[in-house]
Amino acid sequence: MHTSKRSIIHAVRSGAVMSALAGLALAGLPDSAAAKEAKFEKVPMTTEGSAGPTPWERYKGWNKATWDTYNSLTERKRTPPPPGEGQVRKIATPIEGNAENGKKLAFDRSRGGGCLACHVMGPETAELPGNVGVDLSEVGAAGHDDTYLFNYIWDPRAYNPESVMPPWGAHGFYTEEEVRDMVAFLKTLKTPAVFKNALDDPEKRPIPVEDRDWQDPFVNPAAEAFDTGKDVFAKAGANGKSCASCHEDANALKGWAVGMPKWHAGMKKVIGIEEFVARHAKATMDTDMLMQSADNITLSVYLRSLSNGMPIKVDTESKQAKAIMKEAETLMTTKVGQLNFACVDCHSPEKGALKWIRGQYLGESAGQIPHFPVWRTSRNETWDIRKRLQWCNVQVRANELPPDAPEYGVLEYYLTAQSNGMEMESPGIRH
Amino acid sequence: MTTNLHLDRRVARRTVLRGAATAAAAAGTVGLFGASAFATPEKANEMMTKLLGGKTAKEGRVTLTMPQIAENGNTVPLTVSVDSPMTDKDYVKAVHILADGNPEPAVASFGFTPASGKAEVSTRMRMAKTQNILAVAEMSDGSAWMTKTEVKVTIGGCGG
Repeated sequence: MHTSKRSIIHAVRSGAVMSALAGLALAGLPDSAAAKEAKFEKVPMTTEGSAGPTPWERYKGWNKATWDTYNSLTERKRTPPPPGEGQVRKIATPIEGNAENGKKLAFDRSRGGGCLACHVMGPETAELPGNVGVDLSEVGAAGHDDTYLFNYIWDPRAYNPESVMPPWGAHGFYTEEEVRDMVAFLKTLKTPAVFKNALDDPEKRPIPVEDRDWQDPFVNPAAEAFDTGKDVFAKAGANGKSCASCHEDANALKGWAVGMPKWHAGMKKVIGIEEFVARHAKATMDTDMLMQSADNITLSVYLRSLSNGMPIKVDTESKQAKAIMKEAETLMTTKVGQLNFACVDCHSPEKGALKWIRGQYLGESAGQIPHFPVWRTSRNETWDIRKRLQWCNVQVRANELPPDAPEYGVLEYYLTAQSNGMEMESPGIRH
Repeated sequence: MTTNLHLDRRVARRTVLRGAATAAAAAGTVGLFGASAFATPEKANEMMTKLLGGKTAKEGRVTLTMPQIAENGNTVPLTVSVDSPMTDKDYVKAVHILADGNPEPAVASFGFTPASGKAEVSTRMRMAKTQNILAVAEMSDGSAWMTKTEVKVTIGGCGG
């Protein structure tokens, strides 16, 4: 039964050869993507209200600040416009700042990451500098004038509109006097860096290889969900029903997760597994299994794990899929937060990806989704992709969105499509 | 084989948890009395001498496997193995792990008998920062052997 149905759909896609037969066998068969979408719409889901906690409150232990004067992924017109090319800030020259203080500021991680996050800075460079930006070890001998050095820190877009470097002065990380001190420090840099060993040199540092046994719950605590997920699956909700009441054999759901997320025309948004679990549980079990709750994450990991080893395949061909991908490209390139980063600035190989930001290797956006949700060894928690996106937002000093925000749905869809063909390996373990 | 590894690791985990509790208590004490917050190479050596009952360890026979760069200091995996036949006449009695940049230099101690079969142990430890980790083995003939390796703890880029 299944095989024949699938082969008919395949025939529809392969087009011309089968067209001779189409008149008889295929008349009235809808476009396969549209058919799947219609099927998804019929699955019981509570479509109104939020799928996450309301009102949304940031997680305990995260940075408490808000950045209302800068872009978020929803508010995209808040960040002050960049200077035009050549529109430099006029300053008193020559700069005779306090180089010692400038070095302290450049090496201080607490105010946005510091210069060493992206630059090697001479023989006194502290351990594990990054290489997203150029090596500044001899910048003091490169013949730049003070106005240039000052403005490159204050707002590099005055010289290079494509720069991914944060506008440290214009976005209020450092005062004018502090930037002058940093310029004074830059002017002292005239000799190449000397590294204690290859690990300290970002050009020679070995690229991290992830080879932990992610399926071993002792190595990866998130993998406990292989077992605990079964308990959640069998746990009765408010109306006495459990997942197992309707889905008698959980293994029948093998293969379901690799086609998620999906567009829901009724809600006009992308629904990922975690949001689906929340809305489906509410509709069928009268139970709140909100996004970011322990049961939601456990069940979401379990449902994905049923498809482990299967290639991810979300629709990229339908008209709707193409519209989502287009919107995603806008979101991926939208500058957000006080640090003024777009997703692509750090996670596209054309920009910062596959380089070192201090001691962390910046991954590219393709290939991330298969190992989500993920155990974060730095946080001792299992995070779904939405929480990871929220974290990224807060790290670049942008207000995060609630976990079920449509914008995150679009990004999740795009990231998943980028991983099409890769095998599901959920849950992963990362830093 | 896999099952045995599991058992080894679980034992190690309990040891680590106990170690962590001790370290937390010790950190509290340090705060109260205003002493230096971190161990030093000297303190780690003092602790090693204390654990070995005044003996000195020679370099060799011990292999310590750890990442050169730890992705963070929360759970850094380590494996210590000692070159020993593990017979009734010649075996490893104990393995000690020390850190010279944590609040407390003593990390964990593991006891062995000839019945252990193999002088190898894997566990994970917390690391406050980039520092040297020392692994020391006490042998049944009274000799002591050691090795030392520097492990860098990664620093994040976003400063948060």
